Amino acid sequence: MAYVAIRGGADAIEGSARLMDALRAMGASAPLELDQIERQMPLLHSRVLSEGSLYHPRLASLALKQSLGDSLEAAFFLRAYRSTKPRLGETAPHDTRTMRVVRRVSAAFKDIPGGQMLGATPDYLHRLFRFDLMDEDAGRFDQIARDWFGNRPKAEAPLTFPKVLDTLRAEGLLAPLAQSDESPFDITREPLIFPVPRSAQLATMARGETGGLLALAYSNMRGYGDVHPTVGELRVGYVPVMVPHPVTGKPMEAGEVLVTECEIVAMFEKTDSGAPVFTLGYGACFGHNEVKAIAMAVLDRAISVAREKGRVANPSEDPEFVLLHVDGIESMGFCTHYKMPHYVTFQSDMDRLRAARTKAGEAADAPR
Amino acid sequence: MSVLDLPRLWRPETHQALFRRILDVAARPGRIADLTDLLDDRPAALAALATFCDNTQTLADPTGALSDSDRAFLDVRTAPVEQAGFILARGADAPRFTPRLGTLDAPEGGALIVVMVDSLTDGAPLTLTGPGIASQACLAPGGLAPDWLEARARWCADFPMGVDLVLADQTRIAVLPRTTHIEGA
Amino acid sequence: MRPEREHWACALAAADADAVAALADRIRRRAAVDPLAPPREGLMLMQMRESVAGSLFHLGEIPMARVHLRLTAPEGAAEGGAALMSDDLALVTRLAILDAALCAELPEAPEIEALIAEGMAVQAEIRARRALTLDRTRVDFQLLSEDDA
Repeated sequence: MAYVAIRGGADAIEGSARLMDALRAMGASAPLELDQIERQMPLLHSRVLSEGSLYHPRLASLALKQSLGDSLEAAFFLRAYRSTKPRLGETAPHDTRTMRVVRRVSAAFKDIPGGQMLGATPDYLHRLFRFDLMDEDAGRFDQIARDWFGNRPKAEAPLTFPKVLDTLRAEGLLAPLAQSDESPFDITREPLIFPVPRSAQLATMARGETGGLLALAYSNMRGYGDVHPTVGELRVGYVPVMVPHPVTGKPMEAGEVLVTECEIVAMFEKTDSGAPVFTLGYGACFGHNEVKAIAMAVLDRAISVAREKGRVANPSEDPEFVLLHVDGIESMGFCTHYKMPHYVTFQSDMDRLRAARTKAGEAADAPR
Repeated sequence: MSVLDLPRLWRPETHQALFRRILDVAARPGRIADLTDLLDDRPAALAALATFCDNTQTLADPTGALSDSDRAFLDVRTAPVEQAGFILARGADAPRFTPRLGTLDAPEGGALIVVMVDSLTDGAPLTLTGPGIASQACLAPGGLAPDWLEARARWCADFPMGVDLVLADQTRIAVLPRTTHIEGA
Repeated sequence: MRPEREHWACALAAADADAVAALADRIRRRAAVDPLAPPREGLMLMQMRESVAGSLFHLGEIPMARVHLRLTAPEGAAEGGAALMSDDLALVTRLAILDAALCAELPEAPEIEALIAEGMAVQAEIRARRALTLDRTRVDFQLLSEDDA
């Protein structure tokens, strides 16, 4: 079933493009500034950063503005843009132990080294409207900032923290880290031909669409699968990007990337040595997106369970099902293409339907 | 003013112009491309490498012909001569290695060898036939040891696997793709 | 105490952009600046080591610009370099020029150091704000059962 080439419609297409702009510009509100999008809708902005798979905060804001707020289209803009840029290589491996944390919680442990810090989260708030937000002005924003930043403690507190899982690992309750230096699979250059290595799985999910990942993970959580996760650690913060100084070769900080990372602890299982250990799942993505990181971790565990058992019991455990259906650009693109003219193929469907109806009618009229 | 001026040889627009000329003579073996106006007195062999190489490719320079500066500008990874995608060699020295020949599934993996010769026109004449040549063409590289043609014949015996050669004198290049049949010398 | 060379570029990137540009351009006007490698602006894959199996994967792509040059002024010469998560090659070129100029101890060195200090103060403020975030939202949950004890 193919969409067909058409001619004509240029005026309508141009009219449509101009209409999108006109819709934005109508009414009394001022044009959106990129900074407003990044600052006042940071979680939507984060979605676009991770689904576009390009950490360019300014362009992510522009994408949301230009796409009239469509997060799938906005991610598409970033993917299209990155395909025009040269590849400079890959960084050395980064570790989230260097993350300058702004939020760090654990559901598994009450007391963790360094403590739990909620950061900015609505997790413990009621979902009740604050109607005072309907009429805010710049003066109000100044007041909020003054109230928050005034009377600040002088002490320099640490911003980096050890991993909670390191403590469990030190006690022997987790499998030791198999520090593999196998070169990661590059999903931007190679197609996924199954079975794919774990690096391909993590990279594909890292840029996966949040709703798609959530739905699949939820199916597992609700009972189609058997991952019973506890969040061992969820951390959000800024990971400094280190690259070699062009002259000295020593690591220099080139910038920082906002990352969300989640490690889940699931059921325990026996290892080769006989002693049981906890099993784990991992999820990480650009930006502040907790639901996505948790969903990724659940799916990571689900896929590992199936691989260990040698059988797939439900779609969330099937790497092919998961990895081929979570990319937002692929899924949205295919869905959207259905709107493109399919006149010729549909005409042939119409002809066949009419012929079949005629035949059915003849059969009904024929003498017994 | 704010971005640095690159020497001509290292500018992307120079590489585009070089590529077009190299492609033309690769499509018509026997033809010679004169690169003088693009070189700014740098060697044609280096210009060919500058066109082909980037940070996704590998290069072997067994004779150490490249300076550190040229190597930095090529921005290409180094690999041993048996594994490199590109090789820089001297025509005067017989090749004492077996380059990558590709596989049946991926014959394009065969190496491209840039061979530095003294001249493209004052050596013993070779007769070329094959794809891209109407009936026959002639190339007379001077300073190309006969072992090169023997080695090439061996390396390309299992076509489509094999290697492609770019012969370069100081200012000109000619290409001998693996599809070209060579007689003489 | 001059900070380590590897801290200069990100500190300068946090300082006043116009002042950094003006200073670098002023130095450039009286110096020869030659690239030692192709100045590049593009994307890098950000490689991460995940903490569950310890394997490597790509988190996504990040912008990166990298410049390596030689600065030759009447008072001295040095190699300079900078890399930044940016698509602004002009900015990174200027940072590389300042890197070289400070290494060569050109007369502008105190001005460069002042801009570095300004940038480091901006970075310190960001760190302080993050510390405030953690401090004001630090939890000390107690299980209800602990109340009864």
